[in-house]
Amino acid sequence: MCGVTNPSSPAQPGAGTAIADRPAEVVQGLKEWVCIVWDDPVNLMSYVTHVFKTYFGYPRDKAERLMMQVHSEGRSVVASGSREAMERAVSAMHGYGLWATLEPSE
Amino acid sequence: MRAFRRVGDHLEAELEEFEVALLASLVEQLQDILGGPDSGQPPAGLDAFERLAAASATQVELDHDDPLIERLFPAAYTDERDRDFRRFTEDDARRTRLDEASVVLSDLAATADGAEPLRLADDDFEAWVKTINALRLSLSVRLGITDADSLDALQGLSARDPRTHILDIYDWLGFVLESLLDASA
Repeated sequence: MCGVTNPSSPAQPGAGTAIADRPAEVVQGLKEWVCIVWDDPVNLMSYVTHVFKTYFGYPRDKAERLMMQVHSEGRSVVASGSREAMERAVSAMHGYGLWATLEPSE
Repeated sequence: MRAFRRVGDHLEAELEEFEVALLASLVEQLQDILGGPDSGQPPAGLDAFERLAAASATQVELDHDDPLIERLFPAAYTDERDRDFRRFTEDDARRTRLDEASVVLSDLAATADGAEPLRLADDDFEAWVKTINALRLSLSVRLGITDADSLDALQGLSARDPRTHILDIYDWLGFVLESLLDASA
């Protein structure tokens, strides 16, 4: 977005100091979070693909790729965004019977 | 059961009477674990205060010592933030599951014990796949399926092993779910 100050290139000299003094929680809020889906021995591959297509709106090939990653690697990052959005995604995954967790993206 | 197929604006399948009864029974058991059929979302048409009152009257504490509850309502965070997450989301998740179960029971009832085909409106589809999947999860817990090894261990069961019957139903539910997904693709 042009014209918006960001902490690493403040519009005014010395403005960066004020940003550095902000409490840690404010900076945390700007972090991206990720939704991770974990493999389990019960859920059908076709079902997991369906969930990714339906909830995230992913096209079939992306949904299948993520499903295969869960299946073969034990887990996959399936989405990223704000903490609130990732909490909603995790809740939705649980509602479908998948196991998902959220964590800050590193 | 004859597999689901699309018929105009809905999906249809033919179920035997015992299949209808079996599904209904499994769904009712699921409702019981989730707090009973009357503790779902408050009815529509209530104002905000009435909704709050109705919801608090049907508040249910889920037993997290039950492995099925743990499986249906798992952790979202791997640390103490999970307590707050659960506090704010679990009851709504529980009620939603109950409402989805009600949709399935209602569609099953409409078959008149299998005399009529099972008809699923497109709007009911997600409730069906989520509920059938929840039934699979519930049987998987009864069968002790926790990983690939425990699943493999069930393949060589003798016919006299009581788990064989549950495994048959578990496999059949997998067929029902696949059939639903195939028909909607």
